[in-house]
Amino acid sequence: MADEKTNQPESQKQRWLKYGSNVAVASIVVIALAVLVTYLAQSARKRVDTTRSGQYSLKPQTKEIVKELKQPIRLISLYSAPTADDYKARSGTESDADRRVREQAAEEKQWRYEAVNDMVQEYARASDKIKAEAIDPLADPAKVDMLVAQLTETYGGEVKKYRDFIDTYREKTFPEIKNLAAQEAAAVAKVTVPENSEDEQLQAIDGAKFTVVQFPKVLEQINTLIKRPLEQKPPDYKGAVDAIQSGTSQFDAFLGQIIAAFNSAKTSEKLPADVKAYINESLPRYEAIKKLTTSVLDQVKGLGELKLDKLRESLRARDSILVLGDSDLKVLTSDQVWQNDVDRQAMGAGRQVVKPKFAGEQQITTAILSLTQKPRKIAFVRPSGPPVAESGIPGFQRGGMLGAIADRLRSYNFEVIEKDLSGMSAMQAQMQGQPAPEEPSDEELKDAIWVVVNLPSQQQNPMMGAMSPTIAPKIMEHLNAGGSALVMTLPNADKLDEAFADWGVQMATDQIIVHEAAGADSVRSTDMIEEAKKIPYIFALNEFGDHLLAKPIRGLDAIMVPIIPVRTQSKPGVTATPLLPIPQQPKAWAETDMSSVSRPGVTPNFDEKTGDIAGPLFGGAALEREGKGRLVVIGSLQFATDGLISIPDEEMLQRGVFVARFPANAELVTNSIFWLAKMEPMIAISPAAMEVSRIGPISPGLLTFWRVGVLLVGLPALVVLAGVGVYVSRKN
Amino acid sequence: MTRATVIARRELSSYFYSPLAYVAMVLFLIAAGFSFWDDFRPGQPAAMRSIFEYMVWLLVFIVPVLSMGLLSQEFATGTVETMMTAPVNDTEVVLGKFLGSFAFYAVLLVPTLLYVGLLRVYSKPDYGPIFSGYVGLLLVGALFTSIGLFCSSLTKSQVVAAVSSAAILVLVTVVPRWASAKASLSDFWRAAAGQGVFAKYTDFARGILDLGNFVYFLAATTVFLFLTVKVLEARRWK
Repeated sequence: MADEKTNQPESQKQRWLKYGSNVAVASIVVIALAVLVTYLAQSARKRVDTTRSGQYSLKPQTKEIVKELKQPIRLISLYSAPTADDYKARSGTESDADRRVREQAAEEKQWRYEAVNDMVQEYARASDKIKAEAIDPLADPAKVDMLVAQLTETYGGEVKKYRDFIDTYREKTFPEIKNLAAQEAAAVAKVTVPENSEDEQLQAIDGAKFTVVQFPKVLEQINTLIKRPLEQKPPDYKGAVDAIQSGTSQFDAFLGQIIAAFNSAKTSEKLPADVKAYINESLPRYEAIKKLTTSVLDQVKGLGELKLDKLRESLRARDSILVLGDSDLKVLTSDQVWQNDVDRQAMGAGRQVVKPKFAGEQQITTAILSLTQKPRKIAFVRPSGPPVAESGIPGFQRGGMLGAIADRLRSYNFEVIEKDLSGMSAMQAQMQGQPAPEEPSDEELKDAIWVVVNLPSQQQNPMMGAMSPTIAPKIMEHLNAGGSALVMTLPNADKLDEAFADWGVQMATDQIIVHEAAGADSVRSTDMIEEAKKIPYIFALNEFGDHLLAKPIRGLDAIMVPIIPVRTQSKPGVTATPLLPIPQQPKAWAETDMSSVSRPGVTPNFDEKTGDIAGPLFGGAALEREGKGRLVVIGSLQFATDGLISIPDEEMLQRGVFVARFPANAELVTNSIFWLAKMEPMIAISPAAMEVSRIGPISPGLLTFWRVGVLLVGLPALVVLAGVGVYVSRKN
Repeated sequence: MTRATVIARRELSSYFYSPLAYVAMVLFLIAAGFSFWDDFRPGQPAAMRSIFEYMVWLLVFIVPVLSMGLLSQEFATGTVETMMTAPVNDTEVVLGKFLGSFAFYAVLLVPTLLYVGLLRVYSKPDYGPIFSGYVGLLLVGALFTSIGLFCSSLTKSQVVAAVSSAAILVLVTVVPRWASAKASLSDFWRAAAGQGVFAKYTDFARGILDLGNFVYFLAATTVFLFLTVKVLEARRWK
């Protein structure tokens, strides 16, 4: 009986249950294991970039930076892929050349779109704190709307501030100013001021009257300028506030001039009695209006930045990258990310000459740093003279001579301040009756990296000349306190020996490096470098030394006009590396007879007896002192001025592309600053030219042969033949 | 393992005896040739990224055709019984079938090396992304073949096997790609869409060899091969 029971065969249901559950469990386990192993492998983030240029990899320096991130960062690529329209012919009669240009442009667009999206994804892979996404504004307008809504919620706090300010201004402040101004305009119209008088004060009063009568018209114009941005969809609050600020500043300036003229004229005996009476009676009213306008300007200052405006700009501008932090955002435009460089060899061979330099890694890393770290300060310090680091307004206001460099440093998240170390500028302004320029205190300069603009006395202040005090003690104090500095000098400027005594570096400002003039009598060339060779004190360099800050710019062109020798000597605790080696072909030396260099028709000659010094010579040095800061000395200043940095490549300009002719000029300054700020990763991740190998010329006949004859017909036919062959051999 | 190799060799040679494989190869080469047409023009970047990406779409339809008869034909003709009684276990059968089919798939890719040759003659291509692109294609092919083999093990009908495997391939390739472009997707679904085949393959086409992507394809292939083995085993105890 017992045997019968145990020997009973399993039913199908039992078999299904037993074996089926085994299979189910085993399958679940295998799938779970596969998921786990895949997850672990993905988390390991191990990858090999097989591209020649390493374009999909972040440099180790960038990875170090983003690994240390404490706050979350969001990167959004707003690049658009080419659309069908980009590939469509513009007209029915499009020529072959136009078609090739169009197709190349579409291809370039696709390539840039992929490069940026890939780079942004790389950052996300390199750090848990970074999230990356790509939104094509043309293909995905819905995603853009969602983005705007999200960002408005995150960063939109200031919109309310701007809106409230504009509402108060339009409803309360502006009507008040307008009323008071209209009353004064009516009152002053009744006052008779003698016209065409030769008396200066009367002229000033006449001018003031004319201005006041125009007040209602001026204010109406201001009101119109404010309305326009608010009529946009969405309203441009930043634009409206900017209009309020500029209009009110202008109005405030008028009021200031009127009040000054009235104050100066009120006790004058020459004024008619009714004019005097009007002046005395109306002055308090003008001051009340000025108080209102000053208060408006103060409120504008207190509004701060409208971050959403940056988003608006980025969406309006084509192809940008958004870098979003906790409380702020940065927009990287296409020009910042794609910088043009010229392939001179290709130019000679008649090929594609513009090499785009992809600065995505440097720009994104800079933006991330700016959102997560306090900006470092750069202080442009000078012995006297006008400010050098101010940005200009093209066509309206000239900037400082180093404005372009200062702007570049601002774009790298440096806070740029400047100071006249001698205090002469403030004194001069006072003498001219102008307000003293706002300058940082000595305390604020302490933690800044100094950029010392070492001008000779005559240039600082032609009137004061040799009375301009030396700034060497202040530089020495800064360096001894552990500060860092970049010193750029002109010939005949102070040698600053006192400042450099402990560093073992000397600027020979009483010498100038010259070379034998090659081909001075030859026909004028179109190339600036060829022309430069004819002038003794102009040097075109493309080798800058072996220092970390100089190596990445090796091969780029720079121009030095002029340059003085910088010498180093061994000092304990100081590591010195010479920069800017002066080429010895043609022969170059340090000329002591400075006047011979600039005299027309005079060619300097090397003469040891007069103290001329033969090469090898260096135009700069990078020094590091134990326990102290760092110092870079460059025996030239002109190279960093707007004039030389902005020289365009003439040939490229004729093709409509702006490329700096001497890109190393600006790079030398920025790399020096990065090194002084101990931001070496930023030097290492300088933009690299992206080499894209392209298919060479193929005649149309040969192209058709390959495409149709071989790829579409030949290869498949070979396969068919192979099949037939196999069939026949099997049959036999 | 030797038995699996024998089966693989037999399977590979059976492809060369079948007209269907030649038809699939010709169609594949014509389609690939058309896609390379645009890339192979003077002035174009010397790269194969777009053709590598295009090939994956082709394979979604080509591989099911190549793999549909691997096991379903055995079921339909009854030769599976002979196979079951042979001194070879189910794992070796599956591995042998897979390797044979995969080897033919690799042969399918060989003529495309001519494209590399053309690029070499007329430009200086970057061989790194080309190499990684082919590695990616092989991994995609391995996964697609294992899915095709799995579907083939489920039915006697080759047509059903082809259609079902094509459907699965569309599900794991096309659908995630389409979904990831949607604005309204939540983070979870966006991450899920990121696990689709195309998302994992793209890095190979760009020139990046990522360990995570390697393991993804190998693990998924292993899962489908394992499931195929279990389907075969089930025939014994069903």
